[in-house]
Amino acid sequence: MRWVVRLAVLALLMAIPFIVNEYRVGLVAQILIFGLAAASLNVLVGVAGLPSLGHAAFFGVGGYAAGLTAIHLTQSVWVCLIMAALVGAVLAVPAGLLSVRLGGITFLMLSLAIAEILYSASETWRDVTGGSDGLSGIPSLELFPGFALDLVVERYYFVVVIFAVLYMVLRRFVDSPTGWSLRGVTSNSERMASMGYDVNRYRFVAYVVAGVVGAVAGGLNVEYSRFASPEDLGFALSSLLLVIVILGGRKRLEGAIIAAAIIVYIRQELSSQFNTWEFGLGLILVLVIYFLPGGLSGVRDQVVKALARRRALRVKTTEGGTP
Amino acid sequence: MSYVLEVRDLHLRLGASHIIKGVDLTVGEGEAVALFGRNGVGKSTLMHALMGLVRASAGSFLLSGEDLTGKPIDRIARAGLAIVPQGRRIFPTLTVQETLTLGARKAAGGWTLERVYDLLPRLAERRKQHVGLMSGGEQQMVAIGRALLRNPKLLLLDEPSEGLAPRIVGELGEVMAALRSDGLSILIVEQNLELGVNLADRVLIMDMGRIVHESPVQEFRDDPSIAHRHLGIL
Repeated sequence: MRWVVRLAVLALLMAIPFIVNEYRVGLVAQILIFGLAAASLNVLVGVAGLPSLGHAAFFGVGGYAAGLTAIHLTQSVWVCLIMAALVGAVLAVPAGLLSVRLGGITFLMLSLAIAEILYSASETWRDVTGGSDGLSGIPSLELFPGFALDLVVERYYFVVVIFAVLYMVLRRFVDSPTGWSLRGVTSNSERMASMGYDVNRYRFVAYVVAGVVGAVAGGLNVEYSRFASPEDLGFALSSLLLVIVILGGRKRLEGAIIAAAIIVYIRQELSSQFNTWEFGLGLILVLVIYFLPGGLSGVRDQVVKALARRRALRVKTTEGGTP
Repeated sequence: MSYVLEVRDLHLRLGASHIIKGVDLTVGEGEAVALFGRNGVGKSTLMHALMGLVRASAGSFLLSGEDLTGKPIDRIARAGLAIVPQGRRIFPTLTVQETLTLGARKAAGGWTLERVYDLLPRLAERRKQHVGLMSGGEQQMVAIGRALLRNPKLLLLDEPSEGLAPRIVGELGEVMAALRSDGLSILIVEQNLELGVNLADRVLIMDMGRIVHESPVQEFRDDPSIAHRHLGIL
């Protein structure tokens, strides 16, 4: 059943360029890229219980890594994405060692601080990053020598494939024994520790996995848009990713994708018509937190639970013999 | 006799209160020791200090000669100390089998899932049930099984009979007797003197953060004035 749904979604994504116009194809690519970044943040927030307000740091660093590799080194898309992953890991390892043992609000502030440092570095270090103008002049990336991903459709299909692969990687990680141990750590870290689990090591692994996947999402963004800017590292994107995770529901990975679709769509469609799309977004967020504490993907769990309760009630009344 | 656990002059202060004031205690290889004491004398705090949940202010403790003072919780757990905590502390949404295997650690000739199910057949019948839906006694058995699968050098039991029906306490006593005859080293904190006395080789009594009495279990059994003096039991 699961695989049927997955293959159906994949088939739909493959069919998108035949259904909608080029502008909308670009919108779907953005949804997938931000969805992947949000899903990696979901691993950190929902599974490892580490609320980060600086996840864009990985997204942006991955983007710059891919873009600079394309300009100075090689146009091979594979090398660019591997560089994004490597640089993501180089950032995640020391940052993770520094911050995962703190947890809670301190972790949140430190994640914000790290991202802000990188943000201002990207603005100041003009020679390399192009400063606030952004990194332009990124060439089309090549799937293999001689085959550049020039057309929107080609770039789109590449995004779909990488998205599908990395989403499954995250899925496997979340469902692995490590993923379940992490849920235990989040639920009660002392209890897990007294069973011999090195709590911080598990958190660190989750931090690095989330960081590397976030960085590759950033690299994918550059592959698609051929542009990187300090905005990709900024607080606005970090908080947007966190909003996507909360809206989608912390407990479920697929929620991040659904929420990314909604948010990217309304941002693109409404921001041209209303200047105050953030107002609408804020309102939606308040309503979701108030009425759907499990986020959008938590709705299914709530319905299942309500049905089970009704069934239990019915069984009880028939057994008891009283109406 | 070689010691599994050696506590040397352990002190613990929390803020202004000096809760544990220099405790020395040992548990020998294969020995069962019962620690009695009224409420609030520091028994559970001592257990928490051994497990690393709170940090001792002074003194040290060794597990099979390895100094574990001030080590993090998971490090102590991996060194071979397993606790059956007061109030059981299970994850209610996990099933019996998930809970048992969660912290399982293999050891040659040690506890396996099959052996735990042999010892606690009721858990085998309910291996797929969520632990949160089980009775207090069954949850206690799950907590014991979980600790056994850690294959510990020393098992800490923190008031295992608390809140259980008398019939269940009897069953618990049988299980613990089986563990003892299997040669497991045990340190048990109990309010139920009968349960502790039936299990232990040696009895310690704690009062106001100190060990105030220590004797072989026979002496404690034969002289009711000991319990009367230290525990206020007639």
